[in-house]
Parts: sequence; structure tokens; C-alpha cells
Amino acid sequence: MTRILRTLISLRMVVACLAILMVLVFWGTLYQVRFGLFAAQEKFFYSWIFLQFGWFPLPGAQLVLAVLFVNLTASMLFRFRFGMRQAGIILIHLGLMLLLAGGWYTHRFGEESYLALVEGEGSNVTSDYRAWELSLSDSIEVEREITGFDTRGTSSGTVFRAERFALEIEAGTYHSNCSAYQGGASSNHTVNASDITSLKHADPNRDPEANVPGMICTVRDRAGDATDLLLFGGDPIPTLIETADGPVYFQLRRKRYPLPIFIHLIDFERSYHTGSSTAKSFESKIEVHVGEVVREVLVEMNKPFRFQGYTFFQASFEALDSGIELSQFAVTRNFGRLIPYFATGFTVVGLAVHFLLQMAVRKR
Amino acid sequence: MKSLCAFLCLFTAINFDSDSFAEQTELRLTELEKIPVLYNGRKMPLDSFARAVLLQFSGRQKVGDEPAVSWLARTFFTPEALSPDPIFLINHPDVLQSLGVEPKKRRRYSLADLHAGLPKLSEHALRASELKDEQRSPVEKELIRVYGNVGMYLQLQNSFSFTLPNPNLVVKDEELREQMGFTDDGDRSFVDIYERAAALQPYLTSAQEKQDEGTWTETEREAFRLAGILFTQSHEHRDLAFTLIPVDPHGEEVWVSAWDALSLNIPDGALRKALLDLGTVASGYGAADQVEFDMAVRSYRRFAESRIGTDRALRFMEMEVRMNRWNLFGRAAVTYVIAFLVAFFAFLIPQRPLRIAATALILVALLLHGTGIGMRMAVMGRPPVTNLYATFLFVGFLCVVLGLVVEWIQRNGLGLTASSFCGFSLLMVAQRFFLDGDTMHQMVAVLDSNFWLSTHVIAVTTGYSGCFLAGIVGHSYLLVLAMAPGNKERLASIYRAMMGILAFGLTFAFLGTMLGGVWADHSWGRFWGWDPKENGALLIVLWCAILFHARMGGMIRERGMAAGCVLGVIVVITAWLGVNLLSVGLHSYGFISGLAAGYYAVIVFEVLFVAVLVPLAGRSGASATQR
Repeated sequence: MTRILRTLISLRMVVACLAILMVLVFWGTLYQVRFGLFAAQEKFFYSWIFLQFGWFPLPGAQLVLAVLFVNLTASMLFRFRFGMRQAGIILIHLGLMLLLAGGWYTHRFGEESYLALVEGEGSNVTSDYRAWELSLSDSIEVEREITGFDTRGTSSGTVFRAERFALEIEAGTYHSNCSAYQGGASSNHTVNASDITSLKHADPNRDPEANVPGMICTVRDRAGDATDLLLFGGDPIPTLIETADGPVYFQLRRKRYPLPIFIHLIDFERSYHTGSSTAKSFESKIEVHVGEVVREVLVEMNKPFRFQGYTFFQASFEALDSGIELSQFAVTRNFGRLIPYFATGFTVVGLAVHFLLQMAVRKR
Repeated sequence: MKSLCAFLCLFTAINFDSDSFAEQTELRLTELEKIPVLYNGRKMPLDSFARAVLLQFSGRQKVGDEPAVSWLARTFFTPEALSPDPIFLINHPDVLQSLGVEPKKRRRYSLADLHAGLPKLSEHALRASELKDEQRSPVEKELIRVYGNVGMYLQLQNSFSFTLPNPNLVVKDEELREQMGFTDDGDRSFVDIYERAAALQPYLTSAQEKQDEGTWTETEREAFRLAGILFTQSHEHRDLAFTLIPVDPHGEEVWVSAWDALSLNIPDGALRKALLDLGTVASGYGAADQVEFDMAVRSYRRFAESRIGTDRALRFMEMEVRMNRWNLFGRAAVTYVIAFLVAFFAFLIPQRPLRIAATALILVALLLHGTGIGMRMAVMGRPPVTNLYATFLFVGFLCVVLGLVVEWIQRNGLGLTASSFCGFSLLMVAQRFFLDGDTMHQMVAVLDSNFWLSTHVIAVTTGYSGCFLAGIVGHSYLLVLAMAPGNKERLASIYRAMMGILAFGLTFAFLGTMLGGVWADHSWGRFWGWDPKENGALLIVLWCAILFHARMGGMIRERGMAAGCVLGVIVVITAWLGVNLLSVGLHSYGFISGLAAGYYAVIVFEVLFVAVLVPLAGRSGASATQR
């Protein structure tokens, strides 16, 4: 066994990793108080390495968990002796390996989005909480084909090519968070459907969901005509540009994900415990259209609706001025959601077997 | 030794035979305390309401020796404008200074004490309430709290004022008196006039028809005056906090105060009779007429029960009153303290009779403790743990059970000492939460799942129990190692117990943490979100895993393991309480205030304990080995 392998499977390595993880978990928890959950997740839990004080590198939870996973795998291959007396230990560690693998899979491939519907409204797309897209379409009908570009990482000079419309869009300025102003003459002669003439940069919010981006870009069509366009995430009206190939509507909006079903919100109901403001239940009655088949489903707290890897949870609501209500569903798509269930089963059974075996051995 | 056992049994018996104040007063309130009321969304007996409100005001369940329900009955039926009852707890001296009130040693003030400062209290509290919560200093928070309590107390004083004679409601006009069926010109109550309001109507109509007020007759003027008072008072007493009358005006269950029930003006004979019954309750109380009082209360209760119908809360109203009266957790705590003293001696001087006495006492305390938890479950219709208060009751109970299991295996007094210590210390902490008022409040929608409360919450609190008890046993190990290092057999047995309990704790902490993930997956759509409460539970699992791996790898030995278990107490209380003090995250249902000092005190104590005992135990152990 090489020295590296011995180090890798050593208990000292395990203890060191667990201790670092403990520090990260504690630090990350305290960090949330001031900077919010998202910032803590990004800095401590979803990073491989992070810089403290801007220059001092420290291991992130991803790195520690990866080392632990390698340690577990190597230990399983080279250290554990397979037999009845080790059955508990092997089960525990198999469960933990599965848990780490499942966590990584969910983090890497899981999708989280939301669907906000007003009573009577329906949709077959969900929206991202944080990511935004530049959308292009040739109409503003309810049913229309859309070309979307994810705007993450956009900066001055980024070019989006929309071959369907034979257009090239070059970002001039991009603000991940900004405020918009109407009125007055636009200093750079930009076009905007809501007469927004300027954008003012703002610092990112503690909660990234509250960020509203804006961009100024130049649209060039097949004929080489260029139009300067101003888009703001909070602008509900798409901006129309007449190009050489016809009209194109531009909008900066939350990134959309298509659903395999159409969901129609029939009614949202909330109830409170008698004589108090303590919520008793929130429930949405929805109509699910799967092709031509339509069925009614009730989505409640702790009772989500699941369909082909998608899960719809009752997340929040809003009472609108018009007296009708808006219901928001958290939508997740995660094919690995059952992995932690199996992992937990293995580990708990392993712990019980191991400790009971230990007791039995001691008694003898 | 037999006499010692006899003394202990006698003590426990005395502990049970505490007399109630109600029996010493002229009027027994045993019927009144069972009246159902709605408070904070929960249907509860009047006795529980009285205790919750008094706890909220004063942090106590009695005013002097007077039980809460007796105090509340006085407040309702014989209200005093400047009540001398010292019921308003004011902790912050700056609040007193700002109100111009002389500080008192016991920090509890009466309405009479605060009277001169009430205008200032109102002004300061209203200004403070305009600030955002994070901008308010402890003084502003205290001002708002005290203002709210005084306001609620004044509302309680007015809850039954419609039944009390009012000098403004004298019917001076003879003709009107005759029409209303009054034989004399004594003080009338609101409800007296309200009941006969139809007699005013002809005079009000004729007065309205006359253009000139100067042409009104004396009788018309009197009718107009009385109608004006009825109108003003019914508006002044709208939306009082004490809601005891269930009505269903639109087919939906609504509870209203007696004043609001009068204003509803529903043509409902049963409701009218119920309101008159409440008037009789008040007059019966005033005249100290037990029979009239009890009959009117019973009659009213029949009305309320017929309205609530099949609600399960009604079936357990009497049980709740009994639970309040028995004070099972308080008595269990006292019994645990006695058991701890006996068990400690049994641990130091192994004597069978001492162990038997300690075991008997712990079993008695456990019975009280378990009965209390069982009664709470029955009353709420919920699993044992529904809030932070209940975790202390349940973890305490489990620690005692685990300690008894250890004792059953080892029979050396260790399990008895550890379990009785955990029993009383955790019940004492629970008492701190109890002071916040009602501990059986309704669950918010996201937590309203008996399945997950029975699985995840039970598992994770069982994990807390194991790790906490292992920490307590760790203290014993270090103490014995420091004081009697030569007693190898005892040290080995303590060590075995500690490892077994820690393993038990780790298994359940892991299971509970993962079941929490499964619940989160069902409720929020993600298994793990690095929320503070999730992280807290993970810290326990990580700490236990570190200890076991470090021990296995020879990085620590028995002493280090014991020190680790002691420090594990800090990890447990951080997960249990500490993360709640951060006030962030999705688990924001369990936030509490005022516990930070206790939390930090435990941390300092445990760190000092380890810092002092580990080197001391190391030296003692080394010298014992040399010998």
C-alpha cells in the first residue's frame, strides 16, 4: 500500500475532514445571519475553495465532501474486511457513500423553479428563481415560439446569435441588479417599449431572487441595420424591433423551463385556526392537462403533486387587489430524490447492527 | 435506612397534598374554571386561559397565594379601577424611569403603581411600535410588552362590565321605569337596559318626529340618553380579547366576546339566555351565592358545549383543568431533586437501600412526568413534541428512561444519578418556556403533520437525549477519574455506559436528521438546504462521528472521549437552542428570547469544566497508574 493511499484511508484523514466540515457548517450557519442563506451556501457549502479576507484560501464543503467520498471508497476497497462482524460498518459507510453521491447528483442535475398562477390562469412553463434570459419571439400571442438566451455571465461585448431571426445581439452594458428610469431623453438613443430611458446600477441583494437585471444591447439584422435596445427585468412589456426579416419582440425575463403538462389553477384557499392569525392550511385546486386528459388535483402543505420526476409544492400565496389570489408552487425536478432515502436506510440499519454486535461481543 | 425511605415517601405524599386557594375562599370556582374559551386559536378551559394570561403579565401562575382563575374571576366580576394586584412584570429599570415609577424589589407592579405613568406608557409604546423590530432596543420592546399587557388587563376588566350596575344607567323617569318594568331607581347594568330596549323605541320614534329638541318630553329625553349610552358602550367594548361565546353567523365557527355577542343582535333565544346566565354568574359572584353562581355557570356551559358540539377539545377540557391543578411536571421536578440527592449518595456510598429509595423516587417522578406528557398529548391530540417547550419535557423523560436502563444493566448508582439530574435540570429549563404562557398553541400549517412529528421530531429528540445523557455521564467519568482514579472497575463501567449511550444518541440523531431531510423533501422540495436547524442536527452527528473515529484511531483515549462527550453537551444545546437564537431560516417557528444568557452560561461552564477537570484527571490518573 502506498503512503498516499495509507494517508487517504487513515482515520486521521476522516477526523480532519469531519472537523473541517463541522467548522464550515458552524461558520456557514453564523454567516447566514448577516449575509443570508444563499451567500452562505455559495461561500461555504457549494464551493471547493473559498478565499477568506480576499486572499487566504480555505477548503469549501464540496472539497471536504469529495475527499471524504474518496476516503470512504478507498476504505471500502482496501481497509474494511468483509465479514459478518464488519457488516454494520460496511452498511454505514455504504449508506454514507450513497448519501454523498446522491447529494452531488441532486446539486449537479436537480432543477428548482417556481410556477406562479392567478386563479383562473394556466401555464406550461416554470420560472427560475435567480437566472434570467433574453427572450425573442415573433409575436405576443399566448401560444408562441420563443428563443431564449441565459444571461448568466453576460458582460460588455457578449454576443447572442439568434439564427431563427438572423440576428446578432451584442451586450453593451449588463447590470445583474439595477433600477430603471422613465422620462427625459435617452442619452444613447435606445429603444424600449415602456419608455425606459436609463438604468442605474445597484448592489446585488442579499437575497439574489430580489435582483432585477437590465441591459443595453445592439441588435443587428441580416441587412446590417443596428438598433440600440434597452431591456429591464421589471418591464412587463416586450420591446418590438422591426428587422429585415420581420417583427421581433425582445424581453428580459426570468429563465423559463417547459413542463410536459399544462397546469390550470382553479382555486386557492387558505384557512386559519379559529380566532387567530395562525395558518391552518393552504391549498390549491389545480387542473392538470396531460395531452387531452384533464384531471383535478389538490396541492396542500406537506402534500405535493408529483408527475414524471417533477414535484409541485404549495409554496406561497398573494392576495391581489382585485380580490383574487395568486398561488405560487415550488417546482423541482430531481431524478435522484430517492437516493437519500435508501442511503438513510442503509446507514441507520448499519449503525444499529454495528452497535448491537458490539454489545453482544462485549457480553460474551 | 427504612426510616429514610419512609421520610422520602412521606415527602412525596406531602408534595402531592398541596391545598388549593379556591377552597379557602368563600366561593368555589370549580365549575367556572371549566368554561371553554378561545385564546390564540385554541379552545381551552377558563383555568388555562387565566394561567396563560397571568403568566404573560407576571411570569407567575398566582397572585400571591391566589390562583389565577380566582384572580381572573375578581377581575371580571369586581373590577377595581386602580387594582392593587402586583401583576405587571417590568424587567428593565429604564422603562420604570421613563414612566416615573419607583422601582420595586420584586419587579411586579399593580395598575395603581403604574397609574400616574400610563399616559407616558401609551405615548412611548406607540412611538416604539412605529419602529421596525430590528430597530427596537430592549427598552422599546419592554414598553410595547407592558403596554400590551396593561391594555389586555383593562379589556379583561371590562369583559363582564355589561352585567355590572352602572351609575349612569339609572332610569330617573317614572313613566319610562314603569314601561321597562323597573320598580325602583337603582343603578342598572347595560344588559338590564339592553333587555328592555324595546320599551325605549316608542319614545325615540316620537322624539325623532319632533323637529325641535326643545319640545321633547322628559321621558323622551331619558329614552334618548339611555339609547345613547347603549350605543356608545357597545362601540367602546368592541373586539375585546376575552372570547368565550361560540357563534356561527354565516355557518362558520366564530368566537366573540360577550359584548360583541350582544351587538350581534342575532334572533337567537339560546344566545340571549346564555348572556343572561353570564349576568347571573356575575351577580352570584357578587353576592357570594354558591348555588346561584354554580347553576348559572353550568347553564352557560351547556350552551357553549352545545355550540362546540363534537369538537375533540371539549372532551378533554376537564382533563386539562386536572392537568393544570396537579402540576405534574413541577412535582416531578421536586421528586427528581430528592432522588438525585439520594442517588448521589448511593453512587458515592454504594448501599442497596439507598439505591432502592432512589429508584423508587425516580420511578414516582417518571410516572408523574410521563402522565403529564400523556395528558398533554391527549389534550392536544398530537405526538409528544410539538414545540420547544415540549422537547425539554420529552428529552428529560427519555434521559430518565435511558438512565434507568443503564442502572438496570450496571446497578451501581450511575444511571440513577444521571437520570435524576437530567430529569430535574431539563424540567427546570422547560419551566422557563412555560413562563411564556400557553404551551399547547396551535401548529402552523407547515408543521401540521402528526406523521412527521411522530417520526422526525421523536427521532431527533431521542438523539438529543442520548448525546445529552452521554455528556452528563462524561462529567461523572472525569469527576471520578480526578477524585478516585484507582477505582478502575467503576471507571470502566462508567466508560462503557457513556459509549453505549453516545452510540444510541448518534444512531437516533442521524436517523432524526435524515428524516428531517425527508420531511423537507415533502414540504419544501429539497432534502437538504443548509438551514440553521438542519445544520445544528448535522453538527451533533459530525461531533459524535469525530469522537468515535478519533477513539478508534487512537487519537483520544478514555479521558478524551469523556471530555468529548462533555463538550458534546455544547453541541447538543447549540443544535437544540442556539440556532433558534439566530432568528433566521425556515425553522423560524421556534424562536425564543431571553434564553441566550442560559445558553452561554452552559457553554462557559462546560468549557471550564473540561479545562479544569481534564488536566486534573490526567494527573490523578497518572499517579494512580504509578502507584
